[in-house]
Amino acid sequence: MRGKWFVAIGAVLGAPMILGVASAQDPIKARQAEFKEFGKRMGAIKDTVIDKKGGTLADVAGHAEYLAGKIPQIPSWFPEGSDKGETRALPEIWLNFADFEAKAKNAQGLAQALVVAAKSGDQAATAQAFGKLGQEGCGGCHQPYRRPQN
Amino acid sequence: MSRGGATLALALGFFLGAGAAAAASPEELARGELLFHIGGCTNCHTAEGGPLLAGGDPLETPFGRFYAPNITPDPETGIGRWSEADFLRAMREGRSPSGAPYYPAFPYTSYAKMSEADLRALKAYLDTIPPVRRPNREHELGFPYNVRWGLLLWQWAFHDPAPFRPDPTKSEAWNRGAYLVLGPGHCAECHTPRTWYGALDDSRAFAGGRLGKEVIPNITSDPEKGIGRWTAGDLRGLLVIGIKPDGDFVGGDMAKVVRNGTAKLPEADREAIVEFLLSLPPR
Ligand code: HEC
Ligand code: HEC
Ligand code: HEC
Repeated sequence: MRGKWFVAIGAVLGAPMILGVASAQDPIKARQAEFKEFGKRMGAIKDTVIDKKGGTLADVAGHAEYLAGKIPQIPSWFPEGSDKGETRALPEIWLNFADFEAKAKNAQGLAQALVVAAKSGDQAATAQAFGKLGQEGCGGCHQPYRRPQN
Repeated sequence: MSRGGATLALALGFFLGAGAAAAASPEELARGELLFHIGGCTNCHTAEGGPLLAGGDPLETPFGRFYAPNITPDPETGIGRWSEADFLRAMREGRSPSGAPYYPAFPYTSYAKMSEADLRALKAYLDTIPPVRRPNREHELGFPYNVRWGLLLWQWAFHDPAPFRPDPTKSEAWNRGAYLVLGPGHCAECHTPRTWYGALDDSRAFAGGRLGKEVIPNITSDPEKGIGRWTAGDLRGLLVIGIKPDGDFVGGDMAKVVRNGTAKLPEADREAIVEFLLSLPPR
């Protein structure tokens, strides 16, 4: 009887651990999904700020807050050795990890600046902060640390 | 008057005279500035953090390393002594005032398509840039590319200095877009692949490829290989801030093209570029 209980408890506790291990073993897919969501958010901001087709500055601030909250996690998505497989991450990331972290910090600051601009209601300042986040924040890290497509 | 004074007066007179000849209207200067932006002159002629147009960072090419020279109006180290005719010749024929041919790393092959009025406006604008004294660096090229006169043959065979000819069957906006893309914007210099002898392969215009270590995308209307699935709004976003339809941003040389060039154009010009690009046949 007691043996069965242990097995049952083991199964209940073990399942999430096994799942946890499985996703930790594929940090590449996990981070790519996170980055795809970044892209969606940036696209939504663009619809409002550049194309002026729907969405309000409050929505923009919401997307920027999401990004500012997530960006600091980026370095934790790049465990050592996760440049092997279907990834565009360059080995330079692990040679200059402090700089990689600094790039994330810079991007986070620019996302926060976008939150502030959008909340101020100033269209032009919001468009400018958006461009800066994309070019210097996202682009500033992709440039040195991501392989060009194909 | 001492002799030194006379020389000085003569020299001053010479410069004042040159200045007076170049006196341009505010409209012409504004047009010159726009052409300077879309022409991307700073992308090559200004070093990172260095003075505007006083000479650029090394340009790595398969032929060696080029250093775009100082083109500020400094009379000693820049192009301050150049006449308007000298400038027109450099931009169209790719020849220095002494007749030496330029390497096509300087994209005069595209600038030659600009109208004479536009080239004059560009020169007038360049004359307003602060002169900076900064000697040029020699290019670092291996043999046989370091033999400048060899370029005469290349120019004779491959350089067509004819200005852009509008297509009367197309809209005014399309023609404006074509002019900006093929002329000052020099988009083909990167986006059109080259033949083994370094000339643009027009049969594969805008089909992309590799340029040094950069991967250059196909920007024809091919739905698979090119940007045939992009909407006009997608292209607008790219030209304004560099965002792609998936929310990612362009990097590398294209980020500079956007930041220093297409982002600074008036909206009508950007729309014209969009209209022209969307019409590029698939390749
Ligand atoms: C600190 C560095 C860094 C920052 C900041 C950063 N990225 Fe990335 N991003 C990367 C790296 C590295 C990859 C490649 C990941 C891979 O392929 O494993 C990537 C991949 C991507 C991808 C492709 C995902 C896929 O595989 O489909 C998108 C889209 C993207 N990032 C968007 C963004 C956006 C938008 C921002 C700014 C809001 C941003 N990134 C900020 C480093 C960064
Ligand atoms: C892709 C890089 C690139 C761009 C963009 C570029 N140049 Fe240059 N330019 C060069 C290089 C390299 C040279 C040197 C060529 C040589 O030595 O044969 C040069 C040479 C010149 C010269 C000759 C200077 C001299 O001292 O002989 C002039 C004038 C000039 N460029 C003007 C311009 C203007 C105006 C623009 C913008 C409309 C421009 N360039 C854009 C790369 C560039
Ligand atoms: C100095 C080289 C260079 C010049 C000049 C240049 N491009 Fe690009 N272009 C690139 C590179 C490299 C990329 C890829 C950037 C990336 O994805 O990070 C690119 C990307 C693009 C894209 C996005 C394509 C895609 O599938 O993502 C478009 C559209 C584009 N360029 C249009 C233009 C236009 C229009 C001009 C002229 C005004 C131009 N380019 C001039 C190098 C250049």
